[in-house]
Amino acid sequence: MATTRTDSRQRSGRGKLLAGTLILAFFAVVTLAASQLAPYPKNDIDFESWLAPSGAHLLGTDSYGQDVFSQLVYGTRTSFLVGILAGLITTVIGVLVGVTAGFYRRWVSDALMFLVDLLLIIPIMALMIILASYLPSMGLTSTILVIGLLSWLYMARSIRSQTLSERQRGYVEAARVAGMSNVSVMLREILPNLYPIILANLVSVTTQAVLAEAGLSFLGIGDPKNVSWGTILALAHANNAIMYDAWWWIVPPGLATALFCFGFILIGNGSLERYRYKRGAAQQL
Amino acid sequence: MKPLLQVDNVSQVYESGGLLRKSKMRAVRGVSLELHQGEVLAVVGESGCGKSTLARMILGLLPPTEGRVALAGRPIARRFAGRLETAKRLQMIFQDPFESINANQKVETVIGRPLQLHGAKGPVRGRVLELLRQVGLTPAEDYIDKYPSQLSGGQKQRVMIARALGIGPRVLIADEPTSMLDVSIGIDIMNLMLDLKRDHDLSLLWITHNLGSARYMSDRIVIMFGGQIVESGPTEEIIASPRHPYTEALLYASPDPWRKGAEPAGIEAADRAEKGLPEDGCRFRHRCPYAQADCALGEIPMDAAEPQRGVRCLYPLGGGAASASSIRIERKDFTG
Amino acid sequence: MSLLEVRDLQIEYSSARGPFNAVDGVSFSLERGEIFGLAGESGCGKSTTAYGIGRLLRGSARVVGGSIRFDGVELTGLSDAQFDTYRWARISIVLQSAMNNLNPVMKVKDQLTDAIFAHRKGVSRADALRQAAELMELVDLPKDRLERFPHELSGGMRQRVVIAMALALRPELIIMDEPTTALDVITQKGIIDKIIELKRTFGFSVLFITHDLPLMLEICDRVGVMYAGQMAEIATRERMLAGARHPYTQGLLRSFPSLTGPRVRLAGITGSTPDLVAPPQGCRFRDRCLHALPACGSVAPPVRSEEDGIVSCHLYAKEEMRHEAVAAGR
Repeated sequence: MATTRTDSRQRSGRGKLLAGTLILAFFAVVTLAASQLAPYPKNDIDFESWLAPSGAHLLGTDSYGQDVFSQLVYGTRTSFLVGILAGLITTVIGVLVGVTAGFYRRWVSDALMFLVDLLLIIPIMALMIILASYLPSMGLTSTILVIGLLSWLYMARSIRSQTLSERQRGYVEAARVAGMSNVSVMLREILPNLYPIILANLVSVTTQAVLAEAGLSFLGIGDPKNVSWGTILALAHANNAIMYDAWWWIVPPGLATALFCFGFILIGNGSLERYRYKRGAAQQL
Repeated sequence: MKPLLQVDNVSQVYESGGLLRKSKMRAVRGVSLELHQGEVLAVVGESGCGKSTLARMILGLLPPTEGRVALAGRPIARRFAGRLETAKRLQMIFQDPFESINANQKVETVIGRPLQLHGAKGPVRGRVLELLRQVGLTPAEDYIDKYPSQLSGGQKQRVMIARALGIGPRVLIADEPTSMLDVSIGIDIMNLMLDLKRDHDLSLLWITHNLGSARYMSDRIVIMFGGQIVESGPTEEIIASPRHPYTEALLYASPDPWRKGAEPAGIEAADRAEKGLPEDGCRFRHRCPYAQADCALGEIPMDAAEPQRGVRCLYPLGGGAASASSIRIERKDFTG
Repeated sequence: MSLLEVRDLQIEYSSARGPFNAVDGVSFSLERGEIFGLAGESGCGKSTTAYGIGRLLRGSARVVGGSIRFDGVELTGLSDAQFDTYRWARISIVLQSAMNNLNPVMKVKDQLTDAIFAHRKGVSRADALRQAAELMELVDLPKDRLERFPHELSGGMRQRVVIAMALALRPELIIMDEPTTALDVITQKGIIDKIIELKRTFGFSVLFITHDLPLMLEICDRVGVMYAGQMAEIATRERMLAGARHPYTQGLLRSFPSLTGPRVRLAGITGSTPDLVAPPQGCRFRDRCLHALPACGSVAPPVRSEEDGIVSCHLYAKEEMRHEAVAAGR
């Protein structure tokens, strides 16, 4: 009985990975083929407002007379790119700073962590708002950069503490005895062991990036011409969509955000299970 | 003959505490030893005697506070440029194979990466297979693609030995490599290391708390206590006629149900570690059944009156080789 | 009547790969005033057996069969509340790491008196303190150590405190699981000598568990050697010293480098322990055995009782083979 439990756990690792990949692939396809998939052009306001879903408007229209489905399709492009790219920037910086600060003791570590602590005092969202409002234009690139460059602090902290504990492990000393340089100990010995924690962080920073973009848009700071899941929700909120019972304006962007995050979580958990399984943790009693 | 490895008056002082009250811990105090080509030297002592700190200094992982270590006449490098060169001649087998092996790498990488580091060109798989065979992991093809979690403790230790061997060192330092393993596996590892030592003309520094394994492995023994070497000499002589009271206590405390004859008086005093170790004089004197007033005075020198033997004691046991026979008792050989 | 009588004990664990019996049909008895050793290598079930007797099994482990009779009473049928009248008062336990036995934030004094209060109702505080001081004296610790916290004591002293605690209620049986493994040999020797002396004074029995067979042969009256969840051999100390019967015990004895006698190459035991989730048929040791017979692969080894021990091995099934095997063991 317990054997079948392991088998299913293994399978579900693969299953989760597959399901998550499918979800993300779906969003990727939507992102690439947005103009083909959307029935109407972006920012087209030629329709009657507050229309309920119908054949012509799969998800109805909003108070401005825009087709919600088309908005959602175009919004996917923004949110997907922000999530993936800002998440990647965050991860790269977080891993770089975290591993370096954890590996080199004394002043390197102290200096880096002082910087991190200093930045952590400032509320990140506020900083983003200030930065965004000072930038001459708030296009997609600036949004990605603002989010990516400001979100790595917590990640750096958690990677650093994991690195600190890894560098105490016997295999690090064994690698030094074998004659490896600091850089190769860091990159080739320690870094692969950080994979699970990097993965867990990657999942959370990506989903946070999507939410941060939504938050910035919600506050009206993003590019006004750009549509994203966040801007759709922001507009719906600003125009009291709930009072008009216009669920089709609120639920779809919310669901899309949730599904995107869920896809990432599935990939994260699935690949973690596969990682552990491949290294034989499952074979142990 | 010139020694291959020469440790010359090496000390390690750990400092702790703040600016006002610094406390110093002298973990290793002026240790000197020599390891010759093809020799096995055992360093024996209980936990905290400084033997592992000594090993880390020899390997260049920890710079000595005082003294120097030389390998084949050249000082051990601490900077990276020299580390590779040191590694080529000096390798280590660690105590805990579960810790010293990187759980994230397949056996091929664990053994192969150091090979590449030390100049192997092209694919190393064939060489890794060969090394696996040399450490008795056969058929090697069954092991090379495994992750460490699929190996037993003894197999992990064999992989680590293969890794060290692949680099082609002249000196192997082994820090209690069998203490985490079952005894029947541990003895296999010891036999393997003796065989490899013979076949590759290695010199071996065998660090242990177990006098039995020291006797099994070594040609010479040094006994460490409180950061100092308190006795040194050929293995069989030390076992047959210990001259330092600590060595005697260690010998009689080691379980051996086949030993006959009465145990020396006052051995139980060695268990009294009430006061901690004194900084000056003989560090063992609070636990020594034979201690005299002058044991507290000054630094006790290493007495090397007998050739090959040294003892750091004002009142060494036996006085000569005559008493040795009284302790040496033949037991019925159960090994068949 | 024996103090402790274990018959056909079965203890099951569940694992990711399925349930398995970590202890599979183990039987032995322990007399009053006897030190009985359980030896074997990691995973052989020696600690699990002891924990099963002391009701200390954790996780998924549970006793699924057999009987444990203590002073004539069947322990396996008792509820936890009923067993509490035995725990510590009649059966106490000393674990490997003293820190696992001691509470780091309580003074030695309070831990000793707590053990007394917990099981002896109506003892006055002064009385308990007096008893605690007596216990310290028993294990040769100065009385001022009562005011210390565990971390202020050396490893050997801590283990002495643990032994004092185990003695607090004058139990009839003390289970000791590798009580000296974490200590240096000289400290170990002091503690072992103390245990033997206290046993002579109070007459309790000890179930002593260790992987260190030479140590065990120094202190135990009889030794049981376990392999892969089963009892391979039980023998008196004298029998073991003269030569073990079971090929596994012989191999184990060949694995300890000795300080006396000639220096010879030791053989150890080749191979590794079988998978307990799917144990092999017949004798579990046969793949590593130097004397395996055809029957060992299919038939479980017969148990043969002799005056000075019990052995579970095909080599002893017939009289003439017995002599050969004994000779081989020497």
